[in-house]
Amino acid sequence: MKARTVRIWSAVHTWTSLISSLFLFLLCLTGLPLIFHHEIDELLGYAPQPEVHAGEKATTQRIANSALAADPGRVLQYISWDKDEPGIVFAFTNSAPNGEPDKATVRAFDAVTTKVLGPVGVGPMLIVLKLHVDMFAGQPGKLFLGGMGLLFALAIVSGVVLYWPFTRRLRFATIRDSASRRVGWLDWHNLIGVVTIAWALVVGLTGVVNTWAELMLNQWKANELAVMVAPFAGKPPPTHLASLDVIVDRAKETAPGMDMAFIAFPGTPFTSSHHFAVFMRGDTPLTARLLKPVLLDGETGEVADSRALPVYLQALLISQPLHFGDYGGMPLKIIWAALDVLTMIVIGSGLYLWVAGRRKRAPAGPYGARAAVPS
Amino acid sequence: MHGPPDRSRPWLRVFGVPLLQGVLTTIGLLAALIWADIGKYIAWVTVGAPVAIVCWVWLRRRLEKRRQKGRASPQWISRHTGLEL
Repeated sequence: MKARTVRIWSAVHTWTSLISSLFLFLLCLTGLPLIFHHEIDELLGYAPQPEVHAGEKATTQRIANSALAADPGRVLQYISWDKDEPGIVFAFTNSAPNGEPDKATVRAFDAVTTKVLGPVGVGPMLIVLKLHVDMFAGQPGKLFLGGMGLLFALAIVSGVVLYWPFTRRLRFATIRDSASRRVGWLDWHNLIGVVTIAWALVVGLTGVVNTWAELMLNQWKANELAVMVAPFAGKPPPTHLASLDVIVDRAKETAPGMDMAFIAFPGTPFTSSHHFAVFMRGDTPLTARLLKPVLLDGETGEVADSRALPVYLQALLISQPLHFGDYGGMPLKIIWAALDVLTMIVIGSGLYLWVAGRRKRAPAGPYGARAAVPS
Repeated sequence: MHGPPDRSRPWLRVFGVPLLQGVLTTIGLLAALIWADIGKYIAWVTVGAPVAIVCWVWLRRRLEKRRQKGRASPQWISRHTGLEL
């Protein structure tokens, strides 16, 4: 590789890393507790626990009645089921069907007794989550962090290119920390960086895709969903809602072998103003992520349409577990956390190498205060 | 410190292990998603391998340093222990 090529890639690596390092550090730092958010919420008492572990489950309509009684004067937006928490049903209420997501109240209900188990998404982990997702800056914050993720990906690619000139004379995993601290950290930076490339790229890029979730959803609404509800154009919002038990039964008939992930009420961002949308999911780790919407008339409960989500939304749904690392049990979570810490070490050592490199290049003071750092 | 003079395939020498590691990590990440139970175990091994490599190198360096200290010169020992040899 020519010296000029190395210099160009080195500049790309330095500046993409430097610009994104502060935000990446924030993402890694906030991402670490988020890996264990279930466990932390449980420990701090913010995770609702079902009262009864056996018995016949209550109907969806009874859950809805209980949710409306718990939040008088507000409307239901969504009812959802977590496949890992079969004893709990979640209900989202808001001031209006299309109310701001930040103003929604999420409560957990016992799937058998329909008793309120407590609010969901509150406590210190919510602050950590907001910092991680958008730094309390809403959609612009999300897109900004997505941009930082793209810079991170570029830093990784340029790092791979630079790995060759820096290590071609060394045996793999050579650490020359007896030569000097700077050289030792350069070797650690190269080693940790190169062995975590695949994980860092996957987590970084899936994080970027997640920042586009709202844009993708808007795209789906404007195209695929618009086509699905086009035959019912001009229909006003339902004056009375069909029974949720009818909605659930018909959705299950339409997508046999699938479970319900969530029901979106008419007027919410996931459906039209006249239809319920029931999002069905499969039962394997992969198909559980691939949702299939069933559109049902809000008044009669008749099935209006059902079709698979477009590829870009499926990609978004599959990218989520690859970003969160929550699909392989506790050992995978621990590995995820260790890799997160290693990424922080790579970011920190890169910053140290940049500072040390600048000191080395800077002219010595009148008393030769800056000692030369051997390379 | 320097590697063996394998000049025929220098790319493989430099990128061989990282490439293999990258492929294994990718397989592991997808395995847990596609094959629930067996995939989980594959993921633990392959995604955890980078952590194991870093731990192994760190431990190896610690042991090497300890060995080097064990073979320290009489001057080094005198300076650090105060004993005259």
